[in-house]
Amino acid sequence: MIQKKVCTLGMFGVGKTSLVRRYVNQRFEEKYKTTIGVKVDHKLIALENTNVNLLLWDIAGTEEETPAADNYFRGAHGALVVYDVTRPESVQATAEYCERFLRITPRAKLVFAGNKSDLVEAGRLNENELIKMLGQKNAQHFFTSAKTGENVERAFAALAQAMLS
Amino acid sequence: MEKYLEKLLQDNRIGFALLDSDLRLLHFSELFVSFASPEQRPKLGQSITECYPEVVGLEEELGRLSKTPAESLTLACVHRALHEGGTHYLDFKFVALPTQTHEEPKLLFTVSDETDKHQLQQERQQQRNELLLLRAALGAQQQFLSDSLLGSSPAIARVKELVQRLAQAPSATVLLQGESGTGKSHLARVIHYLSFAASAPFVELNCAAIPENLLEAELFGYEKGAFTNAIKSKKGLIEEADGGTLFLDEIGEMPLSLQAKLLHVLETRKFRRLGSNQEKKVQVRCIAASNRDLKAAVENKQFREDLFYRLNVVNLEMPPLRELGEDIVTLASHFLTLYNLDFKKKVTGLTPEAKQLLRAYHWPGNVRELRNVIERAMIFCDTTEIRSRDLSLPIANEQISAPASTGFHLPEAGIQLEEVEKSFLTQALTLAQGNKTRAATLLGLTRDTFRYRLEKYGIE
Repeated sequence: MIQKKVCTLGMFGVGKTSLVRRYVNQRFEEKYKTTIGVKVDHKLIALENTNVNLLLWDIAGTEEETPAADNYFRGAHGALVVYDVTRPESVQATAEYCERFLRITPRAKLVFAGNKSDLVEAGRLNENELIKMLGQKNAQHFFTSAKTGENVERAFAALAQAMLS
Repeated sequence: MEKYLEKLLQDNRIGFALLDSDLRLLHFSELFVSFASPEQRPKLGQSITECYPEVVGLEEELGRLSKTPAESLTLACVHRALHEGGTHYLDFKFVALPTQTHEEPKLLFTVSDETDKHQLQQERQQQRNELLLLRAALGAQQQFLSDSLLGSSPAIARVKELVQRLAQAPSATVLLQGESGTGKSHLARVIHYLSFAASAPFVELNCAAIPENLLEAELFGYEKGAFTNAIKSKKGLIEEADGGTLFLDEIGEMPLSLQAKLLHVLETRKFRRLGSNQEKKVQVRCIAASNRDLKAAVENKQFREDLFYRLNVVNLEMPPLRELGEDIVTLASHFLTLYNLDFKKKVTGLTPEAKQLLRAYHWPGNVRELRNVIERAMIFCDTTEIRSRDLSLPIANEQISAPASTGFHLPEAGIQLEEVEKSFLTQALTLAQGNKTRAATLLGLTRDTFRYRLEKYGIE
């Protein structure tokens, strides 16, 4: 079976853990608990008649740039880069996380998730503007909500697809 | 040697395994087994990635490491739900062991349970992050509130600037003036929420809506037995607003006798409940609003001069809608977005003619009237854009604006469109002797539209 290592990247509090929890366990918890270090989960998916074991590395949204923190990224095939649509500073921070991640794993694939879309009125999110801010024209982008489950499966599936291609 | 090593590490609660250069298990300790993934128990000869999935992806790096003795690789703070329950935080370390020439390289893999240390770190980080998130939320709230004053005309820009300054002076009394429907009540809320914590009280009283004889008790509260029906003590609105804002709308309608008492509260920050001798202290910001010319009311002896000057520390004039130019269209678009959500419609905007009409109309009812006009238009709009005729404004309706055909003349002082509409609906019903279909025909409306309007104005 093919194994693919996927990291979640992004500032603290953007909902990385909630997205993984929604994807793996179909659950959502309102209470915020800061992740420290890394929690590895896995999910088996079938993609184009191939079974893929996605190893999901839910990595703490720390600003620390240390060799120990970089070790989390080693050997990763892709990353879900998460920001919070209600916090503009979390959009800006994605650039730094991507740069750190791609420095360790230059061939890894990225997919962006603008999370907490349930907190924003429909029509108030300007996707083109956000994609411009994210500065990654070739990566796919989704507005997700770990709370409602909106686009969570689609974002991970798009990443899996990109890693296999 | 391995036995000594095992005892040493076991005593220090460290699990360990020896791996060959292909990362297969050559030897492992008991503790190492208990730290492994609950889904896969380690077996000799098995790849480490099967029982420790966190090692997947590190194979290349560890292969290189095994050939460079004394170098190490650490994975700190790895979460693990162990059989005994609860989350543990484990530290992984890989060290290349020194080997003889031609001897197969070996890696020592140690796993230590550092839950206590990392739990403290988690608690510290949790507090820090919660604080930062709270600050970010507060910043977003302030931005949201500031943004809720829509528009970019010079008049609105002035209001926004003043509001930001007022947020820095939470004790300053404010007098809001402006025509009816310009948004004074909304502005008072914005000033309040920008100045105080979200939990601080915002207490609103419309001085014109409460009979004169009840207003004093409502404002100051009363003690049990203060008057015939005072069967128990009650806090007044001034007391309720302690630590926040007391918003007195239509202050010009407050009776003169009460004006003196309000002045005393504003001067001393003290008040007495009705029937009490005890003075209470309060910390309240007062925001008063009026659509009357209070200065003229002072000259006519209808409003106390001393109270006027006490309230008028900061005077903020809300501009009438007709003076806001392009902001009228911005506001209309905002209401359109809101009603799209309410009515589950997908109206994308207004036609250029409709926009022109909005700019040209004189809006006697200001923003309140604009909101009603857009609401009405959204209900009946069956195209992707609101057209000028959907707006039902009098200047779009030739029947009303053409005096020759109807005899109606718009007075220079303007009219209250809603009152005119109500009057027409009632007249049509009377003429049609209560037959709604006939009454609707008299006004050139469908029966449904006619019924909607009757319901809206509560006409039986």
